[in-house]
Amino acid sequence: MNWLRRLVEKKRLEMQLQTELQDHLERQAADYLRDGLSEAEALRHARLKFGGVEGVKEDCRDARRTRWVESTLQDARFAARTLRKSPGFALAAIGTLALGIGANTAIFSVINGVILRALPYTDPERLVAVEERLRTGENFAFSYPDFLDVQRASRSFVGIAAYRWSGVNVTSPGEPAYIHSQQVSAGFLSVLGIKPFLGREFRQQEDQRNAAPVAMIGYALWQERFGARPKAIGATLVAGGKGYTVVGVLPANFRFNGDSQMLTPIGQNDTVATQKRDMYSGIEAVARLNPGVTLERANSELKAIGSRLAREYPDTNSRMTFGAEPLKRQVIGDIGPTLFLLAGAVGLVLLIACANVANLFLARSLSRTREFSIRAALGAGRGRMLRQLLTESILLGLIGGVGGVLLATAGTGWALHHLPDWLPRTQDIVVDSRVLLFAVAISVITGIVFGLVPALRQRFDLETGLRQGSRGTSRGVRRLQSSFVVTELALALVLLTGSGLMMRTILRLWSVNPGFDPHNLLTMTVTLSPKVLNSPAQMRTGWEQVLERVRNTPGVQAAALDSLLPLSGSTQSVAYWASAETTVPKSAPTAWAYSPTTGYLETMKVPLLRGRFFTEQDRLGSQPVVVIDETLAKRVFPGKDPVGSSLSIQLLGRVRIVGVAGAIKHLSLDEDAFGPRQPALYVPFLQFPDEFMPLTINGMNLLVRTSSSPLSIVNAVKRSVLGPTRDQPVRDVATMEQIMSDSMARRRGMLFLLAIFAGLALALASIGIYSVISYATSRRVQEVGVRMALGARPQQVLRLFMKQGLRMVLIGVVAGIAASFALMRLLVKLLYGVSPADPITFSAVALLLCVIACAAIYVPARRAAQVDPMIALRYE
Amino acid sequence: MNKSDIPQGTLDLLILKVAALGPIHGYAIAQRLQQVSRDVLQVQQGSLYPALHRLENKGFLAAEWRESDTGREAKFYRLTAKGKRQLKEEEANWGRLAEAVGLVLKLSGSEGV
Repeated sequence: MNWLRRLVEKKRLEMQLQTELQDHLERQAADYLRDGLSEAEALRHARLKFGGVEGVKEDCRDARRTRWVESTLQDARFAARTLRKSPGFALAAIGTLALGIGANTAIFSVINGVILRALPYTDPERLVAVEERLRTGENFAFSYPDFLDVQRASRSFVGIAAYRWSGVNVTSPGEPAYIHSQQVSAGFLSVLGIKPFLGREFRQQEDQRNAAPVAMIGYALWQERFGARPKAIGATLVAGGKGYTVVGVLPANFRFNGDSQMLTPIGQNDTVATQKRDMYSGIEAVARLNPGVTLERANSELKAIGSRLAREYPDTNSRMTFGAEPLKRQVIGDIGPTLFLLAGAVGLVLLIACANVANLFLARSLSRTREFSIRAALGAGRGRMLRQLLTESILLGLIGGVGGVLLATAGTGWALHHLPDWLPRTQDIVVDSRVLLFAVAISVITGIVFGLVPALRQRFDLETGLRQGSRGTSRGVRRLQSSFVVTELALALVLLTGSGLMMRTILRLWSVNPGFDPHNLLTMTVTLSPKVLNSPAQMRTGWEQVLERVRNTPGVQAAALDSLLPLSGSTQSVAYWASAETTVPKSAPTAWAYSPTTGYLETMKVPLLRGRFFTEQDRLGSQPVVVIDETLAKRVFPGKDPVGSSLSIQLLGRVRIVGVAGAIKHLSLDEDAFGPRQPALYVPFLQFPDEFMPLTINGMNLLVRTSSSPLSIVNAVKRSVLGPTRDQPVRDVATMEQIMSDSMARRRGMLFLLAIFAGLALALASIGIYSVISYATSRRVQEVGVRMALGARPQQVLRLFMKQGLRMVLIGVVAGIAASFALMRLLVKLLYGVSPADPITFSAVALLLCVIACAAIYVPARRAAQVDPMIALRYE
Repeated sequence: MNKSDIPQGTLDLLILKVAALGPIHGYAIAQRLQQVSRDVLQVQQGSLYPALHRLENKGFLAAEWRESDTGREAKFYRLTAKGKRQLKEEEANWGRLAEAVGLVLKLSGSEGV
């Protein structure tokens, strides 16, 4: 009979055991009876010879090896009964634990989704991101001819595919709307090991210039625009004014480089974006390593290809090389340390929760002394009773864990919806079996941690227990409670300090001068009518007309178009050099490349330091001009006036400098913390050669300086953009202040969570100190009564308890400051303009903690001081 | 002749040996052990049962309830195939041990300590 059956069929086994032993005794007695003994004697002898029947039964039960389960179940039932009898205690403990475990489960589910879980592709650990890089290490996007060469030459990969993000307006079937789309190589899905939900992926011959336009569509788009009909395969989708034949539908949960609802073959892109070897316009590559090929081998092969291309195309490739890294590392980025910091913070919250519940248990253990003494007197062993206590605390831990998982699920769902976008892979953050396992493990460990100390402290000895009854106070218990509270306060202070430093950082960042005026500045992305997209000249006119209409909109002070929006996270840079060489020198530095229309400086309120900005006269055919920023001026023309000099710019050639503008922040408000600033240059959009015009198909950034609140004129601006043909929708409407705020998304997310955790910690620690003081006062009611009867004033009683509490607070604060001092160094990468040992933050949070803790002490202390001595003396 | 307690672990071997003769209930096993060992081996009869149950749970013995001479149902133990192998192994072990102990005793005897 197997183990499980023995456990389940316990009742039957018991009956059989009884019958078997009875049978033995009867046979023995019968034998004795035959030997001539009397019936009573026979039975007595039989029993004697057999030994203790109950003992034998116990031994037989042990032989089943199911005992521990049975007694654990018994303990759990008893524990549940005990907890039901003190619902206040149980609720307080469970609530505290649910918060602690919930916060930890939530953060773990994030770490699990973002870092631990495999990417949702086949054999994802064999997938690598292949990158084109400067020889100095900086990652670039691929140039398409370079990608094709790498694709042809490399032997390390099963397959390699390029992808390039692009947005497009879909006009039919269904309502016109903007969607995210990507241009990808043939074989892109095979590299990822994903099969289309319907149809097929692109063929090699479709991934070429002048092939018939084909598209794969996203599952959601298929549902919305094609009513989920299989006939969608072969149907036509009109996007960007072009008709695409649908050849495949992507699986429902397919995500790569964001959620794109349309894929087109990248080889069909015949714009300058894919034709020039020195044009790096957002193309990236993913590849699957051949079996047996290591990342190192792939990297050395890529490097060799890089060197070969540099020899073959010295004009464009002398500075470039290629490399690969695991795809997962590219997707995750550098979020890891931040998440682990949060895990640490949330661990502290759980410790505080444990200390609180341990304190509750300690207080209760005193009142249970009598219960355990009686059980000891009845023969229960110490180990058995310890186990009983631990079962109780683990049961509490598990119930708290259930609450925690519910809280975590609701909390992460809410937070992912409402927090700024600061995490990769958010769609992978779900409560899966690993998260549940974590929650169960952490609940059990928590139960053991907060249960063990009080359980070991529990007095099981008979005489002190019975003599003392429920009234005695134990010095040891009080000291233990105080040290728990001190620890809680110290940990809470650490979390408060962390969020204080983050808050100071964000305030600092807000006060950083970005070099332009972000107030009353509206931004949006504008696309042109599909009707003009086939002619560069018409596109240019189209953009000019949009600008003209927007400038004439009431409430608009100034407006400009630009291909690049500072602080938005997108970048665009070119190499520049002072000499007249026509090819890019190997050592040429790079600058941010903006290509705005006229009115840009005026709209952004970037100061013009020298010379002039572009005018309507700076257009195609006139002298090519550039405006540089002061960083570039200082670097290339130190001590001289650069206006009138010439500069060489990659892709554009030799241009004349006509003005110098103030420097602005490009990547982030804290970018100067990461080394010397990269300079910037502005080339006139209207001087863009025809071949560059298609680069604006995905849209241009419209900047609008408004006289009043920027959001109030959004609709007016939208109408102006829409145009007479009413087919120029806008998207990504935001104020510049929102964009700045989003550029701090990670820090804001961190601040938000740290602040929640610190608030939780502060609340728990306050409850902790409150309950310890209340407990102390309730234990000393009689003493207080005597003191007051002997003439002590309420003031003195109040002082007595306040003093007891304040000592804990002071020790806690000192310990907390010391711990923060050591731990805040971990935050250093997230801080800006504030030292991890910032005295202002440290004193402010210490003060905050003191004030709140004092309030928590004052309430019970005052209650004790106001007690009526007569009632106090009668109190039992 | 003195009565001896059974050495630890040996009880299992003896039970398996007795059960090898055919299905047998607990009381009969106890009687058999006593008879065969000519009362040298003294088993506290009760302690037979935990051992029987242990062997049953390990799969060396199989038990079935069937009507016995008393007219009531009794639990009969029977050696399983697994039990047979175990018995063979333990017999061999025991034989080696006894031989070794015998050798040691003879050796010390010849030296006439």
